[in-house]
Amino acid sequence: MPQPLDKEYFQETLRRAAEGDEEAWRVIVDAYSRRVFGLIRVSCGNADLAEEITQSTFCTIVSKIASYTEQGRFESWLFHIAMNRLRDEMRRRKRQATPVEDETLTGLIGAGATPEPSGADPVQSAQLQRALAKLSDADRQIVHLRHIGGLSFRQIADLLEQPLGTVLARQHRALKKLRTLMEADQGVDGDEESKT
Amino acid sequence: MTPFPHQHPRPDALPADFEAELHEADRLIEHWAAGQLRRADADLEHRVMAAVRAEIETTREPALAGSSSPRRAASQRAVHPHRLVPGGSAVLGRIGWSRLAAAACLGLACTVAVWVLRGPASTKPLPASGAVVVDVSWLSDDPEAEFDAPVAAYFDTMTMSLSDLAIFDDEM
Repeated sequence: MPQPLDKEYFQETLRRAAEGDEEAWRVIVDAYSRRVFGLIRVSCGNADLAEEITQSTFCTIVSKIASYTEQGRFESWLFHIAMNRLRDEMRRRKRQATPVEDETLTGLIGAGATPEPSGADPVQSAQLQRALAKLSDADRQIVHLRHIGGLSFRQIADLLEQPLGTVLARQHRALKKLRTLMEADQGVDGDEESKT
Repeated sequence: MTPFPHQHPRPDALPADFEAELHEADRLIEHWAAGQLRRADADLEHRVMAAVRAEIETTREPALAGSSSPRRAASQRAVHPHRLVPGGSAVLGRIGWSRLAAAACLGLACTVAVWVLRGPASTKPLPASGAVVVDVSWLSDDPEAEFDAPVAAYFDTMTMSLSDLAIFDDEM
């Protein structure tokens, strides 16, 4: 469960940040930059683009924080800007790119998440990545926002402008599909091993 | 440094009525996600902070305009963060749309002036007196002469036949 927010400390930090206090900004950057970067990278599979978007997102926050009123929605606001940046950039690149097969794109998404850190079961991890790549964009987005972005269900609902019940239903559907895909993948792997 | 209370968040627990196998899949994703977050470059925060610092200086610039303080000079030397703006737009932004529009207006005005001064006679203005002279010398004195000429020829030669008279009756 997310730890309870120290609202006063949080608001004070944002107030000082709005005044241009670099120490306040350092606290905010330390708290969120890795999560924003991680979310964008697993979404696009490109670390350079992810860092570019992360920097751009924080610069936007710097320029707009003076007009921001804290009502417990800072994280939703921050990730909303980051996701919009990513969407705009992907649209721009799509306009300039030559069309490729869907399977190639799915492979790229999977490739962006490798290799696995030590300690993880590499086979299971590979199955998970393949299954995640096969999820629909909407289902994968929920998984990424919750686990990489570290957002609560309520924050995800706020960010996606959907009712909480819809978000929970989508989470349920995504996990079920993921489970089915992984089981099917496991069956394929087992068949290949028995053939060899 | 005081860490933010939610610096290392754990996601909300799944609702209790989700099946056990979904909880297991969720734990698997959580483990994978933790690894993804650890994979970020160690200097990421420093680079983001440098971009933030440059942006703070940029937002301060309007307030510092007109002063020649060392702070302003430092802000002008600040490294600008990555921008997702194509090169062409950046160039246009630097030149300025207003200057381009002014140059286009000037060019259009010059073209119109040259065309008016050197253009065909029909475009020259009318005399200031307002008197218009029209050449009508090509007109005949008798407006019906052209049509009567063949008839007159017939009468002069007296070679008109009855059929010719019939044709004239039709035309009349």
